[in-house]
Amino acid sequence: MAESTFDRVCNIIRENGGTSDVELTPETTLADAGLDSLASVEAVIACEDEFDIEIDTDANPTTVGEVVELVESLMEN
Amino acid sequence: MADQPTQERRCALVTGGSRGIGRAISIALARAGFDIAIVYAGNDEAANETAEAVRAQGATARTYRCDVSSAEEATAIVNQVLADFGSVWALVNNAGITRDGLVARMKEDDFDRVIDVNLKGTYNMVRALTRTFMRQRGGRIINMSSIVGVHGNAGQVNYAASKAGIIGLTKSIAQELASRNVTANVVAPGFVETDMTAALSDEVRASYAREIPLGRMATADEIASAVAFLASDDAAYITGIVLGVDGGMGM
Repeated sequence: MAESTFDRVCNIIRENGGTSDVELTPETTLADAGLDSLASVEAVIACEDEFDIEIDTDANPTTVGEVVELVESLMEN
Repeated sequence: MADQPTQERRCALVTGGSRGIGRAISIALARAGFDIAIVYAGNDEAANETAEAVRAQGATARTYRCDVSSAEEATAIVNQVLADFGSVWALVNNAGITRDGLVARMKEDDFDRVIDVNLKGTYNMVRALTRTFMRQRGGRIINMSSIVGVHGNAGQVNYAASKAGIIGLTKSIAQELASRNVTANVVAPGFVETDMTAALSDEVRASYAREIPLGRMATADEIASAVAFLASDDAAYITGIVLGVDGGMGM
């Protein structure tokens, strides 16, 4: 079974945040997931590569759920 | 086989690349193995001459007309360069203008325009390419400042401010992108033989030369050599520096 978008986003956030032991929910902030501002940008870039989408430079998601929403809205287009 | 490149060629994007120091940089980077995207403000003929000189080094050259002070134009040109060359490894922000005058008489527009082209233009280009650099986990940003950005210069409040701003901008970028293996450095020339200095009288040139420990102005090629070094793999461990190429004037 294919991984959900949520799971794929969580994997990217774990790879960029370096905190593999934190349980991620849609409400988890990127800061709590271990991402500082630069790492957040890097995670967004990694999402672009993973999902083959282009995320607006001004987009500034602060929670895991917001990243997932952003990705899903762009994948629908 | 002769027509098979032995390694993938990297692209260098040079703003203000058509004339003067920018032309010398384009040619030096071509000699060092880069393909060159020449970004220029308006002189088509000069840009084509530089492109020919780059091709004479065996490199690919393309020219892009762009006002770097416009974020929109800068972004569009960067996207076009990325489409044409596939990637950019080295960004050289060399585009610059002067509108000299004593501060008491300097018009607001003269101040704004110099800051817009020299400083904001640098920001616009860096911003447009940052994601590319982060994604490829490597790259070189080389921003052209000037000794007047460090020492100041009567009659160049706007120019000196823009060139000092470039130093702060570059050191900040160097810190932001270091974790992604992207280096950012400044080259700060002193007096250089260009069209601008060629127009000076012999008397003025001699007075300048007396202020230079090495006793003469730099050639554009001598500035370009420093840029080519910072763009090379040999400079991989250098980031956030201001490299004076000034004949000793920085002492």
